[in-house]
Amino acid sequence: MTPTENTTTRNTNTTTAAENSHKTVLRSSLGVLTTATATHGTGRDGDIPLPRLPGFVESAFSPLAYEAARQCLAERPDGGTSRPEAGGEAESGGGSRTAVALASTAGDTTTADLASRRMVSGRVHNPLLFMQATPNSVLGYLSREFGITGQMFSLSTLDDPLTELLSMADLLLEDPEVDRVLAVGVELGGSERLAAVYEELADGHGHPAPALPADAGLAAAVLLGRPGNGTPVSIRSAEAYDTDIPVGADAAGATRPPGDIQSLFDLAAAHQRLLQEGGSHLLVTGSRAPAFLLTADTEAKTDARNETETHAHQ
Amino acid sequence: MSGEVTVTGFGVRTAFGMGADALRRGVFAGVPSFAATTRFDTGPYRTAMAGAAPDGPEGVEGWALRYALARCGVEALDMAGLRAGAEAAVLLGVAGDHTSVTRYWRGGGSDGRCGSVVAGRAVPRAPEKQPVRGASTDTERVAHAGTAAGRERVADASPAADTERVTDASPAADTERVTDASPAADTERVTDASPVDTRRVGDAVPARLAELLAGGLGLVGPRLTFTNACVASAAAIIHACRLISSGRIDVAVCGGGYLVEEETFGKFDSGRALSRDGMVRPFSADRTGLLLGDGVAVVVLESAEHARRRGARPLAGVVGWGAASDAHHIAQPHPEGVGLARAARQAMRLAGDPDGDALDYVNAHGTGTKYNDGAETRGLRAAFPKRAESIPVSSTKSTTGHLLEAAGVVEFVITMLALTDGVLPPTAGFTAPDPECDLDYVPNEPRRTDPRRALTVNAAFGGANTALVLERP
Repeated sequence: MTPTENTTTRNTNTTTAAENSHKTVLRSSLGVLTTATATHGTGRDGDIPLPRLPGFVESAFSPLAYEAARQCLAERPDGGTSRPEAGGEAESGGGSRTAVALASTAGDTTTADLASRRMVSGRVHNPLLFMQATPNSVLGYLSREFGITGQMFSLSTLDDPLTELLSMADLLLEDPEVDRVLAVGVELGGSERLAAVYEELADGHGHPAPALPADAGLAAAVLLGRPGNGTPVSIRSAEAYDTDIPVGADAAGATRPPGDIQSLFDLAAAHQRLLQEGGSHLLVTGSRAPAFLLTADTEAKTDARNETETHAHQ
Repeated sequence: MSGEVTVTGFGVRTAFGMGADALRRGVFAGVPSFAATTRFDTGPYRTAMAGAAPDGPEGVEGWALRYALARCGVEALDMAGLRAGAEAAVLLGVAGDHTSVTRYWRGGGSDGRCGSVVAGRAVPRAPEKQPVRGASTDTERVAHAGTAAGRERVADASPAADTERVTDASPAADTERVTDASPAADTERVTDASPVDTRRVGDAVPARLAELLAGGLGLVGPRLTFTNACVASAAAIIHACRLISSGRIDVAVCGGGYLVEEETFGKFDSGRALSRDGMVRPFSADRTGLLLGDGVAVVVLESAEHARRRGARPLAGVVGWGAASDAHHIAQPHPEGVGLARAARQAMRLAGDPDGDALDYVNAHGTGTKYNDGAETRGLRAAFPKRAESIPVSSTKSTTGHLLEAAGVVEFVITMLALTDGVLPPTAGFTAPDPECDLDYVPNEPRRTDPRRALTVNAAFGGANTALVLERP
């Protein structure tokens, strides 16, 4: 077994954070090729109109996931733009060596609720809702647009999605057939059902529902590879950041919804800052939880710890 | 690298009932499980047929996914000889329990979410007895398929060997076993996982089901939930294999589940994906689509070294795995099956047999749709150009129906039983060859043979494909 550390808060009535003491942390440094974010209807700076995505309707989930992923792949075309020849296998080029993992807590809840409400009101299902009912659909769209023929996974987590995605990338990049992993996180605003779900998941732990309007959404993506070879920023596991912050709280002491993707936004912000300014950045995902150290390449030969700034959950 | 990955336990439930013998009576005998479901009003839909277990008086709530997963989990740990408190990752492939979403909105949303349908209803535990559909329809084939040798192989493999437990076909006995007999069973925890409170809405979150399973089984370790549709539980197994073979963990409990419910049934009906003649006829010229089916399974994967240290006998080895995408369409497979071929070749390379020279059987995805079966055939031909025609290929969805997120893990168990029993499950409902589908599909009758290596493949929305290679110890 590799060394393990505690992770982010547990939000069910069956376990606690302290019990979940066996999360895998990163074995190797990963190169951060690029990052991107997309928000809609959140009230944050930089909110965008919902991008139009043919075949996807009503929900922000797939358009935002696609937009964040698109930005990453467009910026680093070696992340997979070799569109396969008709009938061919696309076994060459970046696309065949790119894996994709998409994490969210509950998937596309907007679509799920629309479909359910139509059904219980006696209306027939909309076939388009059928098509977009699984997160795989937008991954399929993405893979076609960018010629990605590597592995694709969609995940549900109540823990910190960044930790899960980095762990998965760490594992996938041990496969000699994989050079890049595109990690995407998506979070949607809450319907009343979603609020009820979060209320049940909180189960006395005090974790709130996402503080987003019902039609709002967030997505963040990071394209990861092995360090070196043109990756100006790398990320590795750091010592667990052990403070008196209550379980499930961020550095400011505020509780966060289970599975929220703020840490992916923090990673994106830190990455952008390091590209501009260099140095290092300690990214903390929660109390007694995995922490990650981002280091700009120019600083790689210095003692990163001496230069570290802590910007936990800006 | 810790190297080898072995299977040391499993629990499985389909429309045929709980356990390996139920599969032998149904899947391995080529007896379809399909009947008109009474779980919900099928009036609005083009068909009523599904491979759903007969309902108890309480309806679908009695088959809450969390409960079915817990039952299979207890069976799997029992067979593997693992106890509560064991260190094991829990990796699931599920989409969440859709019935909780439907219940919420049917109950009137926030104003009455416990409302008209389920308010105050005390739902009993799952029915004590489940008649096994088709169990006595063809005793000869059943006897042929469920060989005593195979049963013994599986029974003997468990360090907690209890031959009666494995060979006893009584569903009622299954229920009793799960609730009170297993060394892993924490009665309170399993009871807690029973569907007493149908007002729960949190089970719609897939990750919640993994937490519940891990908590209910008392397992300590990482949890991760895969939601990538019909490859979800296969993806969970592949992830577990990677974690084990890289030395990150020693034991993983992998599972998946889908139980037929109206929400998904309606979606597939709207997509005109359901069979029009009440049968699933994979690779047959007159196939008209798929039918949904109940499927839940949990398997214990373990490093061979760890299994040896604790005296657990391996049921099968997992010697190869692969995953790849089509890059073609959000809902249709690549017509040449390129992603499936690629995943299969990856898996076979890892298994040290890139050309499939030692491959004795392929459990196909075989949905029975026009799109899938031709593409899959071409994909298998591309993966094994030298000998595709000589490898038996069958689709067990012809008897179980499409198990969606659970397809990977249930078909993994079926493939393992094919190896241990020496019987290939047939493709049922096969009536006429299709020029597009020109492989050996083991039509309608089980086939006795001596397979040592088998491949199981799955495909999903978005063009995701997975492949797993199993080997008899």
